[in-house]
Amino acid sequence: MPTNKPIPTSTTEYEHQYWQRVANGDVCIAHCQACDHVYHPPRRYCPDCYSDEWEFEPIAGTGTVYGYTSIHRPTERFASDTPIVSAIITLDEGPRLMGRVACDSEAIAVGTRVRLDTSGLSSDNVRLTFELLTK
Amino acid sequence: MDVFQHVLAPMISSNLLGDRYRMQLRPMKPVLIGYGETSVGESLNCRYEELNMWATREALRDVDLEPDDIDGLIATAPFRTERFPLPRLIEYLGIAPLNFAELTGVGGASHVTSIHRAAGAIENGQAETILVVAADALHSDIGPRTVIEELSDSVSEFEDPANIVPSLYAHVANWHLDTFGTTRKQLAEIAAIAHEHASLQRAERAHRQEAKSADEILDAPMVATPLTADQCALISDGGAAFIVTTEENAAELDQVPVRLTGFGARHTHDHISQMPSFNETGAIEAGQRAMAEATVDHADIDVLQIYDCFTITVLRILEDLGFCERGNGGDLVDSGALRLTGKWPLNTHGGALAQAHPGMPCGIFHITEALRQLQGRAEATQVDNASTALVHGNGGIFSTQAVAILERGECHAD
Ligand SMILES: [Zn+2]
Repeated sequence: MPTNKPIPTSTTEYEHQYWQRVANGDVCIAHCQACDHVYHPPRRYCPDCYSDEWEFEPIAGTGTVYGYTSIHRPTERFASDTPIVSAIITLDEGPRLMGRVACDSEAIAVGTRVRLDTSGLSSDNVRLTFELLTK
Repeated sequence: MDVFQHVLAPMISSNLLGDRYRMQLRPMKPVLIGYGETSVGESLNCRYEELNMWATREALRDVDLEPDDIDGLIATAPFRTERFPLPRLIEYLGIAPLNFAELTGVGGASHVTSIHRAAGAIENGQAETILVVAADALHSDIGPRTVIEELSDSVSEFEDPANIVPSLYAHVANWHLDTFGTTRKQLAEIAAIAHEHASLQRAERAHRQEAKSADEILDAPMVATPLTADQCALISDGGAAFIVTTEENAAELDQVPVRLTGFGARHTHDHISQMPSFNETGAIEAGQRAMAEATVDHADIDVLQIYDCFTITVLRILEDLGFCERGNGGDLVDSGALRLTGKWPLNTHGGALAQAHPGMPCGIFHITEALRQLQGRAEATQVDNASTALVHGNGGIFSTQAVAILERGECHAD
């Protein structure tokens, strides 16, 4: 049976490297060695200085919710997951990325602190999932 | 060597270039003169090319022109991309040969941008009479569920593939609610205004014709918090066209000319996660530039045509265009200013939320409605003495922004 959360296939070499790392629980962002720009998504050339001298660097996994929504009507292949709490997270390293937050839809707001949970990541599931960081 | 004196002038005097080119060596003042619309709805049973021809036919009839009078085209590719939609349309519409042809490419900002492109091509003599057309059979030819799935497939894999487009906009909506205390009801009120304006249209002109209260809109099924189904654009069949030509032609044809007095555009990002700030879109700079060029202030705007793929789009853009203070969009909605009787009647046709959203052609109805208003032909939703309209387009996920100021000119013919 085909999984509904596979590694994306229509990608460049560098994007494929990214998804392989995610599948291994090693979530990274691109760091340009030429101009020090830290960016996401990864690209062959740094979008600031066009250098190809950049490296994947692991993220700490902590960040702050910037935008969020509880998706009640997703694409068909994710219909069984609803509601999906989706969030745009500002990583402590600076860049933003989109992930899911394993929480009740009422428990999230702009400014909520979250931490990446890599335990569920595999080649069958590369959706980044965060958990609430509560004090 | 003086090219004009030694090469062009002798050719012109010997009429080698023909009358049309001789005329175009003088700078031309471009104006919009008329428009056409297909019916809109769910089952027009027409293909892309047929709908484009339908819209074109109505536009040509509106201004009393023949297909042969058209020498320029700006068109919009169908949802399912043809490899070469332009030559296909040029032949299909019977408007060949053309001097100027372009395909739009900035989504919902395309059609506002097209006004500017057409005006420029006329000003610099590339063409004299340009057809801008956009139509598609999004509902009957492709189908709502397929459209939603295919649009989601086009979203980058670096965003969650569970997203349908509404959930991408919803991130900004919740940001606005949390940051400024805007209420869900204030957002829903924007859809209520759209539904009311659509309910006043002739039946064939509005996909939905049912007035709805904000509470009813909030009761619709939730798509992605806080956006209910009634706060998301329709999926429709339909399209429209408008004609841009010279001031001289407008007078000869006895049409009320509408001038493009200001234009601005700004494009900022692709991924919603990479939007620089949820508190500002490119509409800030696009709007400032357009209003400065037109030398108009907010008080001068009689009709507001704001791209409304979702309620949050309107709220965000109204603030960015300076119709209220940043964060006060909810209060502006509550004030009644956006109603038909208010200071800035909004989307007087009903917009993408209630009138029609045939995919890529969506924003063209905001322009044809502006023309209706400025030419005094808006029937039940006519705004008294409408002489200046602001038309806005938004493409992608707040990615591309364009703003045009349109002003009614004087009809010179007696
Ligand atoms: Zn760099």
